[in-house]
Amino acid sequence: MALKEYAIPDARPLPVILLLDVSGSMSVGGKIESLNNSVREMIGTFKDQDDSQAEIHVGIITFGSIAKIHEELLPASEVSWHDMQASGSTPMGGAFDLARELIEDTAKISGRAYRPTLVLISDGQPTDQWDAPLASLLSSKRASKAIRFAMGIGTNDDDVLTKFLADPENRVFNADEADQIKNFFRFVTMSVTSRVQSKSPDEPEIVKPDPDDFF
Amino acid sequence: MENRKDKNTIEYFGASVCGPSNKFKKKLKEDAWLGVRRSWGHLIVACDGMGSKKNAREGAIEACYAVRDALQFWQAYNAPPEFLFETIHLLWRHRIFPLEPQNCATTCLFAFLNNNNEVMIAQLGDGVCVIRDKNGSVELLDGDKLGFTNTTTGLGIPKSIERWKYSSFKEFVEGSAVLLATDGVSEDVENSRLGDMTFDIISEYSSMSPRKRWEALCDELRNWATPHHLDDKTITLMWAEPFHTGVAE
Repeated sequence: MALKEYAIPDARPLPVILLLDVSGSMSVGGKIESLNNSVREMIGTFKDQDDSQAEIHVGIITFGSIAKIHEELLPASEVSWHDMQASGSTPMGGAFDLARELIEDTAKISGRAYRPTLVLISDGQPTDQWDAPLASLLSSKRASKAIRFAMGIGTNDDDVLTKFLADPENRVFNADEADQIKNFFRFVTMSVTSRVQSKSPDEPEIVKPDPDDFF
Repeated sequence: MENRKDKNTIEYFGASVCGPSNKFKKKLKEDAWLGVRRSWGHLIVACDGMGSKKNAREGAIEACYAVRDALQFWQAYNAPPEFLFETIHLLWRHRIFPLEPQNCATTCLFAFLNNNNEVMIAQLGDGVCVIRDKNGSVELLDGDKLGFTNTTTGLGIPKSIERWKYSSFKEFVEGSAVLLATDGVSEDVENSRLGDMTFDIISEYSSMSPRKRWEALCDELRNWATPHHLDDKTITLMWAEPFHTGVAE
């Protein structure tokens, strides 16, 4: 037999969830164009991962005017990318709620998944109530286990992004120019692909790229 | 000498193999299993040493023996299960000494059949315990999952003694079976299929010689069908003969 008939024929998923600021200020200085290009490039790299130990799934949450799902969480190979448009305010708290709901949904992220990666990018301060949603995200049994990255674009106030990381050994990346968004995404991409090529995808410290190589 | 009330023969077997992750790291497997036949009952144990801990292998092996020794003591008294779990933790710490418990962390699953045909299944951490009665009804303990694969509790993890899950069943008579599997297996099998898997394994392997069925089951586990599987894999089963293989009349 036999046991072959019972083993699930799909590799374990590794979810990557992006929380992206698409408020009106992102339309200035080529930021939204750089963000679109960077995300598209990252998804393309994920699609090319033939030697993965896990299947990378990508989901994208945007916040500008409203927080919403821009791309449903799907295997990277099935993601059909649509460029984002920048407008409106910065409802980051709404994005935290959507991220928590997604990670807690065991129909979308099963218990056999590896720990998700959460990536937050913003060029400003939240314009909605963000502290309670962030506290819920960080205290969630599942969401609190995510590996988190954050980038601030053209801002010196990293307070919210630092609280999102909730790890004194993890730092917020800062970009002064739109081009640096691309470098950050290459760093995140390298981190994720290192995990899926590793024989221990939940121990990313084994193969961890140096962020200074990317800035 | 067995003192069981009825005459059903109890059988058990199991297999445990090293997963691709540990092979790649040139490490020995960190899963362990044990089967025990004693005058006071029958026992199967499966443990999964946590891969990030340097003495995980020792932790898993010693956990199997700690369960055996704790049960030998506990079953002689009419004490609550919590006493048994406390004894397992205590004996495990003795057995791994002078190693540090946090370096030996391991999950622990067991099924104990006493001489009154009552079976107790218990679980600390990932993996699954399945019980299938003679009518094909299936119940399972699903581990205390903290959210994602390979994030679990176990012996050697702080406050884990409060996280044991257990259940007891009477009438473990002919055709009844129990299966224990570490997460290398359980996370790649839908829960709804575990009862059928239990039945199929016993149907196919029970008539083989012990040596042959161990080799065959090891082959199955090494050739696991889930793409890019990484973990060590362990399955152990116990059942009451005669185990009718369900051929329709």
